[in-house]
Amino acid sequence: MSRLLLIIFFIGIYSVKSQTILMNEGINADGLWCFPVLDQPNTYKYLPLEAHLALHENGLPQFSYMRYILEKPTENSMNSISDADGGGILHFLVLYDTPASKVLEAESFLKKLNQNDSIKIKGPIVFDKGRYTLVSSILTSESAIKETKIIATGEAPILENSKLAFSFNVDPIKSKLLLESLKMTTPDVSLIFELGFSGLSDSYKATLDIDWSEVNTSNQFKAGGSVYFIGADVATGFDKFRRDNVIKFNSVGTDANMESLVESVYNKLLELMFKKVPVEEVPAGSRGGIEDAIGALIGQNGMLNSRNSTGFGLNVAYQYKEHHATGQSHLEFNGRSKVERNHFIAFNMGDVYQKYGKNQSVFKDIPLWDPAFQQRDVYLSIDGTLENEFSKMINSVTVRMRKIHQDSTVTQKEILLKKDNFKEVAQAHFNYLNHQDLDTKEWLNYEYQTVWKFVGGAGYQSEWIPESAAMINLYTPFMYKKIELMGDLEALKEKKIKAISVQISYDFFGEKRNASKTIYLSDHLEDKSFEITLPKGFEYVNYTITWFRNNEKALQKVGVDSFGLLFIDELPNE
Amino acid sequence: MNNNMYKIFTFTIGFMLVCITTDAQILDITTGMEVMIDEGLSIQCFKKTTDSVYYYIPTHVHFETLSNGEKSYSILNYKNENDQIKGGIMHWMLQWGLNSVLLKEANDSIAKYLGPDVVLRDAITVEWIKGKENIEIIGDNELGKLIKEGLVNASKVPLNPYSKSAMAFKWDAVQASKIDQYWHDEELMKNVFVKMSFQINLKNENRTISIYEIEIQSSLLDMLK
Repeated sequence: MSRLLLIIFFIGIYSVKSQTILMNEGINADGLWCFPVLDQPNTYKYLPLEAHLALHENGLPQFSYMRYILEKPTENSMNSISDADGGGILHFLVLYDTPASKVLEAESFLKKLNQNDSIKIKGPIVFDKGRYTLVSSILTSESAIKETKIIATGEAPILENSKLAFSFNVDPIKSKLLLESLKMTTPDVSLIFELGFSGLSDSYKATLDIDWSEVNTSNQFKAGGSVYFIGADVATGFDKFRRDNVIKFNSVGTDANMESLVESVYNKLLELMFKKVPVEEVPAGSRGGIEDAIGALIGQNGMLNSRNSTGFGLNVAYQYKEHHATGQSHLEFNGRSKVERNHFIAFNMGDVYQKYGKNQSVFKDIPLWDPAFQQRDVYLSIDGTLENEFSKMINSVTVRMRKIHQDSTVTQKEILLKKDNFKEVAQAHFNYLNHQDLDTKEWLNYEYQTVWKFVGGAGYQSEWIPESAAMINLYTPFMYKKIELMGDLEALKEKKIKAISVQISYDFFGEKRNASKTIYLSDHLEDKSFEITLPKGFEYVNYTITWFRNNEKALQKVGVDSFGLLFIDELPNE
Repeated sequence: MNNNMYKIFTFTIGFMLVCITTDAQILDITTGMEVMIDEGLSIQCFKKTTDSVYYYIPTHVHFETLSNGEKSYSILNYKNENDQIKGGIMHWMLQWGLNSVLLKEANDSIAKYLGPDVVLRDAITVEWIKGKENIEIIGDNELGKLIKEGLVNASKVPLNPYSKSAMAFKWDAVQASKIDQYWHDEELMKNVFVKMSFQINLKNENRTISIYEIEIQSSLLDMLK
């Protein structure tokens, strides 16, 4: 079968835009990389030169580093001086651009170089893509505060003069470390912009004629009977085809154009003659040679000077397609290739501290103490005996706290203690905020009141008690009192007394309580005392002693005792 | 420049990885020339077959020099209240290539021997080698190991001469104390290298184009001089 195959390839035809640059003709013009623009004679575009902190209109950098100090409760420490809490917040905006003077210098350079005063630099190259990388051991380490998301890499603006903002929150130690680092000539904060841009390769035009009969009769790709090859051998085979005129390759244009063309041609040949196969998919029996060959290419001592290898990929093998065609193929190549490059712009914080370290609008340490955000905590201290009284005397205790603020508003809160919640509530505390309490000493003053409900129905409500301490001491408002009876029972016998009756009465928070004892002369007085409960500070007990005599009228004495001692052998006069 | 010289040489750097590419300044490998600059720095240059503009292959890994003349690196060891080192951080700003002064010196040298029409324009266009985009620290002595262990993050190898790259390091108390001790040990410093790798395209004698792998490195001792 004979056939003639005519294929015209427009390799990598690239949409020509007004700002398409010619990548191969870039030139470093006095420090500024410039590229000519396609179809616009004497016109160049430049790669942005440098990155720096963005500036305010007043010339100050858009940068702030604020260290803040917070009060922190001291835990289990005997030291009166302890570490405060806090951290640092670093915020800055960075942009990349090119000083106008550098553009003018580059333009002059190009004019002089080309001896052409018509040359103009039109503007910056617009990047296709951009990424930034933050390089810092302080800001990217695990020690940064957990809540802060540290973004070490991200999208960067593709237009010159676009600002990129960064904000970091660091813990107290890192805040100090960062400050000290910023004082150095090369602080530990760098940003690298990696900016991708593209342009066109040189144009090329060429024809390629393939004689398939010659391809098939050559033994170039039949070595060892294998159909698997590595790129290096493929390229070597193609080179031999060219030398042997199995493929005829004609180009129009300069050497450079031809050079640009070669890969396109070889790639097309590769498509026609080979199938790409990942190495791991090559049959095991055929893989050894492939792997050895690749190892030889990329190994530590892999000298490839004598071998041509394609750039088609080292981790793949190429499976030769069996061709039975006997005719010729004619291929035409015409076009340009899109070429991609990367441009780096690095930024280091540099001398920002040297320049602005004393400027409070740039660097600032602040104590975060603001009365408006303060809160007063008032704790309860509960007397140890109180718990026992919940089983005997007390039903409940209500503790009220009242704060009359300096703006006349009132904060009032209460805590209820009962037998079943005593232990939990005992840990509770009151708090109140600052309502325009500008006088901080006065702000500490508050009042509290206790309301007691006793078993049996009695109750007690204290007055509002002024206090300024952070602790309210809660103790029982009553006390136990023992009233003992004393006297000479033998003497009473001689006075023909048969028995004595002692009655007492007292007030218990508004409740009148009574108790009585009858004593016979054979009794032991130490077993006849009273045990009563009195409101604290209230010592007086009313008593009535009655002496019963044989066949005579009883004698009686009424009195008030505050000493807890009643003498029963002091009979009143008849 | 007393020791300036040039010579045509056979280009044998690195090893050729692949052949055939499409773009970039395709320089002719047969035009290779070596130029010695005053400071003992040697650069290798190539040009296109048909013109007289040379480009140098990457050379001279160094710290950025700040406007005040200082090398752009910092080491900060931080201490506790007992004045004992608690940890340390280090930051580098790195570059490669010839600054304007060195470039002018090289041009003067070339002009002297080849005439005023022959110029050394800039560095050849370079690309990353896949898998070797990052700057490497070479050196297995104590200092080299510590620097490698302390690397926190870094940007990639810059592709343009005098573009900058940054590296950040961090150490714990023990490591930072050792760094403090080793940093000025010249024997250790001269055996720790900062290496960058590139690939470049050069046209061979048979007009095919090959990709060559370039590795450049400088010792810490040289970088700090």
